[in-house]
Amino acid sequence: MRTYILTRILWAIPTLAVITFLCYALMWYAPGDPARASYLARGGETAGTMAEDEGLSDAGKLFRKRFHLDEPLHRGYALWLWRILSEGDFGVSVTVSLGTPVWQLVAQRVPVTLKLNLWATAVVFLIAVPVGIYSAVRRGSLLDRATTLLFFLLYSLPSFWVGLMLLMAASKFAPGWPTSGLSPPISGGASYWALLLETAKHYVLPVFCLSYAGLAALSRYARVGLLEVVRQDYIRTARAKGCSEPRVILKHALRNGLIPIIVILAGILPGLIGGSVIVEYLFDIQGMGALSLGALSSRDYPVIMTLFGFSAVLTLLGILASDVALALVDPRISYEQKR
Amino acid sequence: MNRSVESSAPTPPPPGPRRGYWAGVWRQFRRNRAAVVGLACVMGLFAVAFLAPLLANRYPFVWTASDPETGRTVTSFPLVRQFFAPPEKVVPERVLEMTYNYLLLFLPCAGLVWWASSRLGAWRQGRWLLAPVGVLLLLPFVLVQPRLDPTPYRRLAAQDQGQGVFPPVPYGPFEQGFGNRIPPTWWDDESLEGARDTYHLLGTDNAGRDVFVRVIHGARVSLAVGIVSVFIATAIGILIGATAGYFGGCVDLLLSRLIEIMICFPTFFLILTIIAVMEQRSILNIMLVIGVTAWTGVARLVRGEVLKQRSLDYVTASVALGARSSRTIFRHVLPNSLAPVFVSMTFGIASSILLESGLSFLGFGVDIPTASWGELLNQAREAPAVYWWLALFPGLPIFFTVTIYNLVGEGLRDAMDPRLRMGPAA
Repeated sequence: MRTYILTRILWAIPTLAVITFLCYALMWYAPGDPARASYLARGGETAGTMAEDEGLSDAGKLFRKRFHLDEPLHRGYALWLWRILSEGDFGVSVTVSLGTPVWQLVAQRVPVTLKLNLWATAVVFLIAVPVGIYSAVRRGSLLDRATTLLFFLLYSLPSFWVGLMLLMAASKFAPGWPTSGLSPPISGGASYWALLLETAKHYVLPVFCLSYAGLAALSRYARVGLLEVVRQDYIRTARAKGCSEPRVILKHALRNGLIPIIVILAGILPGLIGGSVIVEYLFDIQGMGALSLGALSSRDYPVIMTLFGFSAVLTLLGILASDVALALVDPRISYEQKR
Repeated sequence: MNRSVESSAPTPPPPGPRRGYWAGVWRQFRRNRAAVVGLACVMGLFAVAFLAPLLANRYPFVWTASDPETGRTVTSFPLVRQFFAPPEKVVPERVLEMTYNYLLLFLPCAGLVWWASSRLGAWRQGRWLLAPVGVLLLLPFVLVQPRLDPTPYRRLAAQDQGQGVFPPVPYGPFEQGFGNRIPPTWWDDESLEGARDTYHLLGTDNAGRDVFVRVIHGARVSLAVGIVSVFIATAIGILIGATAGYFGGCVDLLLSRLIEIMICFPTFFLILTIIAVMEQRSILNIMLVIGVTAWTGVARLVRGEVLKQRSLDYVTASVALGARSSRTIFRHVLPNSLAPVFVSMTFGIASSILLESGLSFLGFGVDIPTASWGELLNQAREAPAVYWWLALFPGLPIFFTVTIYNLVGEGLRDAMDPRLRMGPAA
């Protein structure tokens, strides 16, 4: 097992290098830079690529120097990577929050998004898995058909529209309901429980918005996975030897039936950055999604690149975690023999 | 896709090498009522997209007015002129528009040729007619000169200075000046100061354009993005999947890693990044970027199928005969392994339509004056309860389109392979 994990980690390194290189190349070739983005606001000329030198402000020159954009591509990449590895220097934000180190910005935002996504994931799993199990066991029952139809429709609903509808309904039918941010404004005198309730209220709409589509997908996966398993011989054997039905399902079928779900878990980690952009935009939540959106729309390249590299790392970690989990859960998978 | 749209006739097993297989699929498909309804709705949607300039436009089909100098009655066809007139500025959005207009003429003609020649039992000969017909229909688009036509036909008609036959919704997609953010006319008539002679079924947006018209024209963007990006994704996916599956070994290992990473990478963030880095907002970029990021599903499917086919005797035979790998793959292996790809294409269209509207919603969408459903929704974000018509109505067509594509996809999947069970757009 340990060798397996080690090989996977070693494999991840070249992949990571490729991804960060692509990321750097994207910025190197990108037309326009933060200095020019501020030009744009003043109605200045924005044509031309970064390779051109004229018309750059001092800030722009500094920025280009810092990111070695005046060097050839491969050299610039090596220098940039070296600075990150040796000094842990990701650069400072250029437009989102001028002068703040990027890692500081990220460190501020991660907890917010993490909380939001963890709650959403918890909701998804706590509802979808039981529903999926139920519909697989009672296949064709009224509830199975109803949830299948409901989830099918939910799956097709665009989350930004649902969010808009929720905002609309909230301000129409529950005018006091919080619709922006994740925590209530700090005010003295409020009791702990009142504060907790108020915070919970903030979470309801964004978490719903974030989880309903995953709900549909996951319960379908659970249902299909379990349906495949229930037909197998060993389930019949379990029944034949006199196992009670809950024991057959929960003990025997579920372990194999839920294996496909573990693969989905791999997507949760990288989803922390890109997954909640729309929801954070809708509900004014200052998380990673809002940060990336702000950075993207104002061409804050240091921030964009850090986020990009960050999500690449998370992606690889997610894959690694799901592979390891698969190997732990499924005794049929044995990686040592394969290699 | 376009072929399946125009051949909606009662017996549409499309002409192809595997008639028997597709006839069987169609027979299975027809049993699924929801899927058939979905397919009909998809065709209806395409009809709306193709007919958009004829359904909603500020120009009348026919216009008769008396010339003030000579007093003679002059008849003109402003809408026809606008329909054919080439864009003054060649941007992808306008080219797309012209492509739709052209296909609106070409597809019925092609259908007619197909129908007539297969009636005569001579489709193989008749299909050569398609090229001259296609070129002939291109002529009006070349011959008509571009011209800005600012004539306020509607007002002239109202003042009895001429008669015109207007489209059902007599407003243009870029026509402004109806007043910003007016609620639907049937909703709250008193709130409008003074009498209005225009009727806005779904209100107006923040630039004073009719929302209903923009919803109709937005269908063009959504459907085009869905189809083009899925075709790009499918092409890439087939190429990579087939290469990985056919050659195996080290190539497979590398490509599989690539696929794995692409699957887990937050696609939406990746697309946002690429689009944000690009200087020019355009529909072409969106199609490309969605296509370039959405090929993993197809690649995995094709890889699996090719792996299955590869050990069969006919592949060995082809290799033994000295065929090049590319020939073996494209002529022999791929035709046998593409069936599941069609299913994933249908789901793919649904998800790229969803993606496009999401991008437009965040303001990273199509170039500005072009109508898009997501962009309309974005206008409601400041105060969805106040601008409720902007929040509610543009979302309905997105939901509808995605649902019917998923319905068709499910039907197709069940019809092709009852054992293949996966989530939509998985």
